[in-house]
Amino acid sequence: MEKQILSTSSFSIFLKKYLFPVLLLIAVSGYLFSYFFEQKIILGAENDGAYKVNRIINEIHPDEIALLGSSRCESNYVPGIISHNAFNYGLSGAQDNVLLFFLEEEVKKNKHTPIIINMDPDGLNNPIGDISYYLYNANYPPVKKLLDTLYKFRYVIPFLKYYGSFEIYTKYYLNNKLNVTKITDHGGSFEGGIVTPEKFNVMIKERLESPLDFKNDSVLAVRLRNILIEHPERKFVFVFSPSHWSYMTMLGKIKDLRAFMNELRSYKNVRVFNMSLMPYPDSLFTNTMHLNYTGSKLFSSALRDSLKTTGIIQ
Amino acid sequence: MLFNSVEFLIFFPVVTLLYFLLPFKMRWGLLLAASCFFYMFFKPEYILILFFTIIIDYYAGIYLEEIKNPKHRRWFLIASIIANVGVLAVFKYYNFINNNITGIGQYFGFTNHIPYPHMILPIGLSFHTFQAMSYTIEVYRDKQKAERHFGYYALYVMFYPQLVAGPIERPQNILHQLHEKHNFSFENAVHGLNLIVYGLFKKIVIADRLSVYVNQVYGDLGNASTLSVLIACIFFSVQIYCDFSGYSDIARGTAKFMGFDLMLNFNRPYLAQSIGEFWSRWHISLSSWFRDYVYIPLGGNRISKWKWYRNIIIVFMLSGLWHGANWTFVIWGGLHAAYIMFELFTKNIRSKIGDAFNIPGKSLIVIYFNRAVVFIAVTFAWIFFRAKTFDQAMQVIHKLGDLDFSLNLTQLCAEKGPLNLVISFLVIGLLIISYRLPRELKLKHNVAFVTVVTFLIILLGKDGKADFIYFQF
Repeated sequence: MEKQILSTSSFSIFLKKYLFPVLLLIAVSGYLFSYFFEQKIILGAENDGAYKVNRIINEIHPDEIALLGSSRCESNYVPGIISHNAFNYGLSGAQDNVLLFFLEEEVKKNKHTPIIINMDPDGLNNPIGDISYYLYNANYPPVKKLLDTLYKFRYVIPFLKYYGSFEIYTKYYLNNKLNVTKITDHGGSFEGGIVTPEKFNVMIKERLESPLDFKNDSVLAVRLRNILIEHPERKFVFVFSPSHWSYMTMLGKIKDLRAFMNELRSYKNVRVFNMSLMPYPDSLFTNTMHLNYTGSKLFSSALRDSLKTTGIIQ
Repeated sequence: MLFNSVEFLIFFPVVTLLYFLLPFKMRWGLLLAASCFFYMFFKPEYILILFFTIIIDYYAGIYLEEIKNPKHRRWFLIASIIANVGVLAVFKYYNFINNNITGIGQYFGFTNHIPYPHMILPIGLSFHTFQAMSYTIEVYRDKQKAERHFGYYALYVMFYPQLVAGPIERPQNILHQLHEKHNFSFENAVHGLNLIVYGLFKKIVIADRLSVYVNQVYGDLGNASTLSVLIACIFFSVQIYCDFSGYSDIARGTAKFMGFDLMLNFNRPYLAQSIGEFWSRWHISLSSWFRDYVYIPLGGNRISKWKWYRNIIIVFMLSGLWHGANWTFVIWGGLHAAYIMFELFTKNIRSKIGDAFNIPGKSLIVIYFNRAVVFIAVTFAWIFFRAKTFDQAMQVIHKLGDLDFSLNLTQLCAEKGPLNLVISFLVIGLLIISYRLPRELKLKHNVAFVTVVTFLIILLGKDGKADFIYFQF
């Protein structure tokens, strides 16, 4: 008798007239919307991390020089200045496990162009940055592996997988098309404004209260060595881009950093450019770790000259 | 467990389905077990505190009904209230009182040696304590029969939809419903889901979105301008409304799906034309609680003028303290008391001004003017509610007084970028549009409504399981 409560017509009417139509409508409209959104917005902005992840996985540009790294790569390297065929794959917030993922994808391609890698002086670390970078390709096995415990079941469901990230994609898209808050150039994204000296002094003060050490994650180091050894046909250029003096002052375990640099130099297919101590004034930085657009242009020109002098690029 | 979590997305259909599948006799057990699970999801051990007050009030109710001697009954009621308020005092006000003793001690030159134990406030303590107290008071007043079934009484206090953030129900409204058999009803299910989805929209799309800007401005007041602080204050008014009324909508919706009617807790408060009306629309279950159990027993307005004002001040100060153990909440309550008294003082003058200028009281200009004044007054008071300290509140007020309306984009966007600001205004626009819907969300096109709102939640929602503001109370 009691069990009949759910089998009454009321419940089946609820399913037929309400729940199923709602789910169907959301599924259809969501699928169509996300298809449009992916094609026009996510893949329509070169500075979007999701575009970069998709580009490194699914696109082959034989003459392209890949610039890889974290936010320092994204904001310090102006591709248009370095080379006409350079592309900036830098991802804000992402660290070396992501860098290695990009490297592994890049070396799979049948190419012979140099790969320029921005190395952060604090060493090999693990954060992967914003989850939105990976959602479009979340089910590609290496990406899934990279996400590890961050992977969620909903990433297989169109539309729903972008929940909480639509704004970020739109932001990248608008930045790329309008350059309102940032200046973009082939994947690079640069701060146009200058920070006031008062605000910058606060940043320096905060930096001088935050000691950090060079870290050499052994698992990541092994992965890096393997790539360098297994791909002698590619030239790997490791660059330590300019950091503010306050950042370098607070960096500990410098001996380990030097040892790491020396190890990199020992590979025949590797060149290391240490430009971290270039004496740039405060006005060229947007914070103690990143250059502003003027600083980035200056550094990119210097890097281009070094690359040309050493014959790495023409 | 949070309503805006994946866990609840599983919990709710499972519990509801089981509720309708189980024989009627077993349903209270299911709901009680589900409510315990729901509560224990936050911090399991605090359920013991809840059970302590449940046991006390359960027996207090029975004794209050059985004992005929008025003196003894009164003592039983006082004992039960002391037990409830005592729990509140220990967990919520102990450190606050101790801090004040320390402050007074420093002023008079002695040291306070009373220890500061590390205590976390059990979630929703003020809500279920007040609900429990309303039961014993109603039994004492002979307006409610004592509940003899311990399970049903425990369920009255712990009914999961309103356990942690209300509405603070009265036994007359909910206890008999717990005893009744509810069959699945298409209308209830559809109406319930409309409320749930709309509540989630208010919470995830509006409140959580606005909190980004508000938190940024309050967290970096040094770099804020008058304009950004002003926007943050307005956003907080909308944020707290959507956060709390969103929770109430979800609570009412989940209950409604199973056939239970919880009381309306918010009735579009920012459409109020006076502070008095605002309080009959905002957190109705709490304001009516204070009205019935504090204001009227103190004499209400049927006493001398000054005692009436005293009652207003007491009620609003207590209401402030109920919200949090901090002087900022007391000031917030005090401001509302001042507003109400100002309204009473100026009632005749205002009507004379209206007559002098021949403006009818119900003209649109007057309505919108009154609403704007109420909104500004309430928004100003929220500054003390939102600020962590008195100094921070004063800093906000000073920023407003600076009248710095420079259009610095970084300041204006509170470093979160223009898109966040644009979306924030957009979602407020959506809230205003939603006001065109029927108040109780009994709609003709339910499928279209739920589809559109769900779509908007996925599109504009903030990911990250943000707590409801009122959980801390």
